[in-house]
Amino acid sequence: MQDELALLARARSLDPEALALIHDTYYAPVFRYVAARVGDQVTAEDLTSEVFTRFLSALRDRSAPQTSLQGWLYRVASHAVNDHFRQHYRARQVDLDDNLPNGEAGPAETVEKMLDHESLRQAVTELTEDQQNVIALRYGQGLSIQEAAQIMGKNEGAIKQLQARALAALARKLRRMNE
Amino acid sequence: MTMDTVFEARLIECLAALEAGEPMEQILTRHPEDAARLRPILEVAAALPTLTMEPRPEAAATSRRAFLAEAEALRAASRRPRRAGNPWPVLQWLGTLILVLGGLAVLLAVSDSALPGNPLYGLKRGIEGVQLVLAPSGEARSALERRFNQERIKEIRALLGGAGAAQVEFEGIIEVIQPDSGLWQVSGLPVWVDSNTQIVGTPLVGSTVRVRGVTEVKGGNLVQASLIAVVEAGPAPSLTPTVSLTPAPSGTATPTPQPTPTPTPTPTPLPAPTATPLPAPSLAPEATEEEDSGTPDVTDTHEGEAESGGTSDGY
Repeated sequence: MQDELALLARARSLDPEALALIHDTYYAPVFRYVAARVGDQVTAEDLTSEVFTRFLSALRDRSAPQTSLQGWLYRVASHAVNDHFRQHYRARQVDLDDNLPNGEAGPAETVEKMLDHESLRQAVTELTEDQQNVIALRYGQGLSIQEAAQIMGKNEGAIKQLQARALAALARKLRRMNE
Repeated sequence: MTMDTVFEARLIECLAALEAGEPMEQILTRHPEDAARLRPILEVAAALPTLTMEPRPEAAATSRRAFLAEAEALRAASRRPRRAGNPWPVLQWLGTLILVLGGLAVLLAVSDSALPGNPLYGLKRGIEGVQLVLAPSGEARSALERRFNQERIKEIRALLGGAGAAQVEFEGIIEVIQPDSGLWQVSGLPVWVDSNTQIVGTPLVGSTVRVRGVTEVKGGNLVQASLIAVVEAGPAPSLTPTVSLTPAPSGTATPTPQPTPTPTPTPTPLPAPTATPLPAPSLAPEATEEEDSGTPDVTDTHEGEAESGGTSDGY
């Protein structure tokens, strides 16, 4: 915690080393979170860069976080994803991956697997914002219940309940997609 | 619990087991009645981690370059001399500061007259504390401490004058000790001392003591002392006047003052004021400017001192 406070203090003075360290530390976690919500590599990369641009703007406007940087970055990432969803119509598409997996699964099963993935990604984007957040933090980023609770500002029981309901909603959506 | 709530609790437990690495089939065998409902949800939970994407190194590197370049541009902009821009944010800041300072000034002015028990009294004492911290050591600090102690005495007089009851503490010189009645007079204030009063040191007439207690009415307005601690043993004053809480009628006038000093009483320990008798005060004090009756009383002395202090009890 003390290290993060010191890092933030240096970042507020636009110290290049501190800023580089922040980018190196948080780029991947923010990307995984964003990717879990938008389901697209390129979009996730663009939005992750946007998060760091917004961080610089906050430093310039003196509205950057004073204590917890991680929580702040996830919240900004959530806003960036919401803005993206509002601005773009997401049509359901099927993208065939050029890199085929090993030969154990045949083409039909591979396509079926990607459809499932695509369906699952699509279903995630149809959840409520809180449900998307908990899925992205817990499964996209691999955070614990406690860490997700801290970032989302909820208690652990609420996170468990939110997660259970999000997963149940996903299962219902997938069943409807397959009907 | 409703059925849905029961199922939800069961689902939460199963998800925790799945995350801990327990095989799904084994989890479902524990809940055969809900297995059909639980299975698809647990399968989704098991599939979600496969959606995890990792950032491409080249994308991370591109983002880093752009981020640091933008930061450098910001640093360069902050080093340039400021042009006259929009003054509005500065004016807003100044306006807010003026409002805050003005409100603070009002609060400080109101708290200055606050008495113990008043919500602003803590602020008053806090300000005094800050002043003491900032005061240079030596005579300046001592003068400040004396001023604040006088303020404590002034506050107690106001409370005894009917402003209310409160915990009080002050430092003063013992002027009278009446062991038979339990009434003492410390810097003009009537103090009730009984078996519940903790005595520290050997208080004598003339000693400087710290008094802690509560103001209350007890046959007269006084300070019920819970503690009297000797700060400095001083020479006994030449005269030991009688303490009374109410103006004494002329019929009870005590003898006129004697100019001859009385001998200093022998110091004796005082675990309880009534336990060790002290020489009973037998002489009225020298007449002060405010006195015109033979028997001084505490009330008169208070008012006299208050008037001579140039302040009124305007609380």
